[in-house]
Amino acid sequence: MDYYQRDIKIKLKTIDVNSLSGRTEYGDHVDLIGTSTTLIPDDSISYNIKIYLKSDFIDLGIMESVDVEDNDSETFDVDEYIITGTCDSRLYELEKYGFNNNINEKYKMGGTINIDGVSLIETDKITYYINGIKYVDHILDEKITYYSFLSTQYDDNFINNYYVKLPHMENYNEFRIENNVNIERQNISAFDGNNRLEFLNNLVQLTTYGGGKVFNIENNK
Amino acid sequence: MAIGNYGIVRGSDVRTEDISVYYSYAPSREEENNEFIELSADELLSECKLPSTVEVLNGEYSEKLLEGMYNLKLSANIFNQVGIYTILIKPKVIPLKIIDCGVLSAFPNVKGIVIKSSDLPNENLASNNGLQGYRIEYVDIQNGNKIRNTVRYVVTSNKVAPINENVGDGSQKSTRYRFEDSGDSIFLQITPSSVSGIKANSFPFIGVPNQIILLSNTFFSPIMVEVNMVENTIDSVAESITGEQIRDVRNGIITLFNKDREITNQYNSFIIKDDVTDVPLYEVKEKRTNIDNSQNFDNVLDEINE
Repeated sequence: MDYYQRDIKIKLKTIDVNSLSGRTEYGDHVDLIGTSTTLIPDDSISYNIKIYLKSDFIDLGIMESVDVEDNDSETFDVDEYIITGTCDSRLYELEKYGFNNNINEKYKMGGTINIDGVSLIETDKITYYINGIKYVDHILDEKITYYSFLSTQYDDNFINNYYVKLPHMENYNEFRIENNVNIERQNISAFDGNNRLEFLNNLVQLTTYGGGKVFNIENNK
Repeated sequence: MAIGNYGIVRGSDVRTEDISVYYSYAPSREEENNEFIELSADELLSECKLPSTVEVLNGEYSEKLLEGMYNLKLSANIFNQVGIYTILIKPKVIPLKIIDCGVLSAFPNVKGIVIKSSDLPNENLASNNGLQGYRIEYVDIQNGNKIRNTVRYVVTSNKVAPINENVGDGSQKSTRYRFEDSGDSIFLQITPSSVSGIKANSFPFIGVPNQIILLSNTFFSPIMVEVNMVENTIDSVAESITGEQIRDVRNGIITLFNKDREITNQYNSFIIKDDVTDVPLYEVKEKRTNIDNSQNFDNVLDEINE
């Protein structure tokens, strides 16, 4: 607070009002008969002072507290609606084969909304995209995966609706993991055992077996 | 890379509706009066403008605001006593309750406080980012006292709607918030609200649900103006000494005039004598409260001229 408005003195303005008529006495010495008035503060006026209001700082914080990465501007773009939730991690689908556990070499990189892959590796979380869905694996304390994608079918009651991003994938079972190989099977198919693997002589044949559609293999080359 | 600050102290262009004015009165420095009374800032304060001769862009900038300068009009129906008036001009405070402290669904690491938009005094504040830059202070939920030396600032404010969603392994439900312009709640992201890198599990205090917060704008720095209402200034004293006077010898009245020949003071002037010896004892000059208007300067001169 500033005290640059120092020592403002305003003389109280008085006004003659209340005309009186009668006798006023001041001891034995003076007698007055006549009209008199009284000086009282003048309520009808106002006193004006100029003041200076200043803004020392604009107290705007920094937007850093949102973890902004890539083109996450959709956070504040309310014209598009984000469907979000938690799920199991799908990070293993982006694992490469033949590499050590160095986290920076382990996964297929270069992920964007249009390209499957890991987009950002941080100490506490890994962000990646699969099928246009953004996943964030929190790998430290929470051990939880959040997914989000932009809705094209938004309505106000979407919370209570069964939401499917890729309707043609409905009725497919979830992935099973066997020896780090992902096998997708249809609901209605009879169990097609791993004995198929016995027909494979090397890993390259995994990419060509069944027309290349049976095993989901990321080729590092 | 160097980091520095630039800029000047900026003249505020705050609207009077965002200002609170309080005053306290004490007749003298010997009296203590800690009670303040609120006044209407709209009635007391008015903005100043650039000179009318200044043309800005052919009149397209018609408001021509002179930033920072305000006229403080002290109405004499309040400021009418001799003594000290202390006037405090500060940003308006909006007291309201936190309805929840939560996270955004899309960004669970962004924590913030949630308030009801209907608790805000106007729709502008409830709009998205309408509260950006506002200051938050807290009232202790236990004893109703203000928590001292604790200040947070609003970084973003957005309308949100609560959603119930699964967290963790799926069996645990939690209320989170998503941006929703038709929502009645406002999510305030405040600073500081991020954990430090040193101790990652020590989260800064941002408030608790049902706690009262004091929300105030940061459009200007508060000021205090002390106005001393006095009977005499140096001008009026000089006027009394060097100005015009009339001494009515017959009636024993001294009348003092200002430069406009208005009566400023009037005194009875008489001598007290000893009853027996008739020897003068005292010469008395006694201030009159009932002014004898017949001592009007012009009247007296007219009398002489007749």
